[in-house]
Amino acid sequence: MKAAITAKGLTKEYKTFKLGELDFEIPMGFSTALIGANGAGKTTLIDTLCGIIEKTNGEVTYFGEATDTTAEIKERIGYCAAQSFYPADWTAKNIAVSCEAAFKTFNREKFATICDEMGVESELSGKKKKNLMQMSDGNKMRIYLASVFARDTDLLVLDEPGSNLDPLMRDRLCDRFRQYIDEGDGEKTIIFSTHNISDMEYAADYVIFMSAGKIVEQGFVEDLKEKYIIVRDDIATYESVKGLLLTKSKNATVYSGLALAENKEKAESLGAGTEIPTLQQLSIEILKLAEMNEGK
Amino acid sequence: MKIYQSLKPQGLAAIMLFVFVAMFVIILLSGDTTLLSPQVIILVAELALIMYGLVFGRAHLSYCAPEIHGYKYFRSIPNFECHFRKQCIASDIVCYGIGYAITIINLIFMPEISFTPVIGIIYLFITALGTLITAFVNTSHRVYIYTMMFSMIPLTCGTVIFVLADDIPKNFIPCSVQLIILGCVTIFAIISLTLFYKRLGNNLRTSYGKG
Repeated sequence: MKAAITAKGLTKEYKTFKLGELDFEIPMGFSTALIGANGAGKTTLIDTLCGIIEKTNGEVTYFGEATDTTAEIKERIGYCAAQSFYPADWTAKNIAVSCEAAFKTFNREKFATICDEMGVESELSGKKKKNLMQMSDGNKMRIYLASVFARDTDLLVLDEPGSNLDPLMRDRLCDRFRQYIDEGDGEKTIIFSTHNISDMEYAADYVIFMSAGKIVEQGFVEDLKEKYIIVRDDIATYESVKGLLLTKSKNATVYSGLALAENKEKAESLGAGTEIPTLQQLSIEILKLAEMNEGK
Repeated sequence: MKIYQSLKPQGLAAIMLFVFVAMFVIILLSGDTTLLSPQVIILVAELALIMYGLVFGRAHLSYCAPEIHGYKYFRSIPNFECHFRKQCIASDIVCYGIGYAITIINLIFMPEISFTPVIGIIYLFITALGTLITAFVNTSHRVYIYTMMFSMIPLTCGTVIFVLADDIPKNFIPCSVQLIILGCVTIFAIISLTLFYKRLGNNLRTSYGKG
């Protein structure tokens, strides 16, 4: 399988935080979700990959060709930050003019159309002129995303694109992701970070779980769902099953936890109920496990 | 706009220097030879060099500053260094240009410039301070701050000269008139030039690199 991005020994060091050392591959032609707690390093990783901040060490290869964010590579990457992406006093027209100047493939008409589709009123479609300061956080994110989708890119790198969107718009965003991937015919890739895992589950093919600047688990969603199970039952069977559980949470009557799928039959033979985890459950349990391993 | 777009930062700085020289020549042609003392020439040269240096310094400082809104967008575009530097230089040229123009207007009203080197040092200090203070605020606020700072210096100097002067020259404009003119110039400059700058700034910021 081809990789859109390959990182080897990638690190980014701040005084109070260190990202990495990370080794990973982002599969080409799929949508990859970065999942982690606040401060896990998702934004740092995204910014490092897109050349927004300089990496401290390591090597990143883009599309199997370049090892640096050259002008040509940046043309192929559609990057969008979570907040304050454009200067606050810019309007949709300012964004269009600037992006037209900065990116060869930016299409103003497409931008206006996507703005309309996303329900953002802009002067491009004859509506009242508004700058970003006058827009809600949700509308700001919509206009950021519209500007990125209005370009012809091979890789979208989006930092929490769904965070300020309403559930309906998040669902439409997932559809747009799928459409982008499908149109690419295996050549277009998406990387996005998210906290709204249940809403964005439909959009994720591959997942990277991060905790404290490290990757704690990664893989295709379907593979991870085959690798882990959720064990859940009455508290009566807890003592006999707890040795199989990687994470545990219980109250007076019931318990649940994450276990390896290879222990499914054993858990069931001990009377415990098992189920295939959703991505939401998987995320919570894997991040819990990472915290336990870090000794928190 | 196309001329601006095709220029590199060095070219822009050269235009800035040319403007300074042109302003100086205009003063010369106006026949007011009192403004052509060696001290004034040194002052103008000093100012030009300071501005040239600071424009580049601030330009680099700005695009490295995550505090600036839009920083991530600028970093994400191809050849962002060039684009961002151009944007900063353009806005700084407008800022310094406004301040410098106001200063020249104000200097014309001064009867004597007996301590020009001191003014030069004050300028150096104020400009450096202004650069540091305003490096992280948005461009509109920077114009306000610069305009105020540049206007206050001649105002203070004029007042000091008037207070310290033993003999008032015959052609001396009374201090009260001078203060009114300075005040009017300052207020007018702040209001009108800021409005102009906001318009120009938006055009510059959104059109850099085009073509």
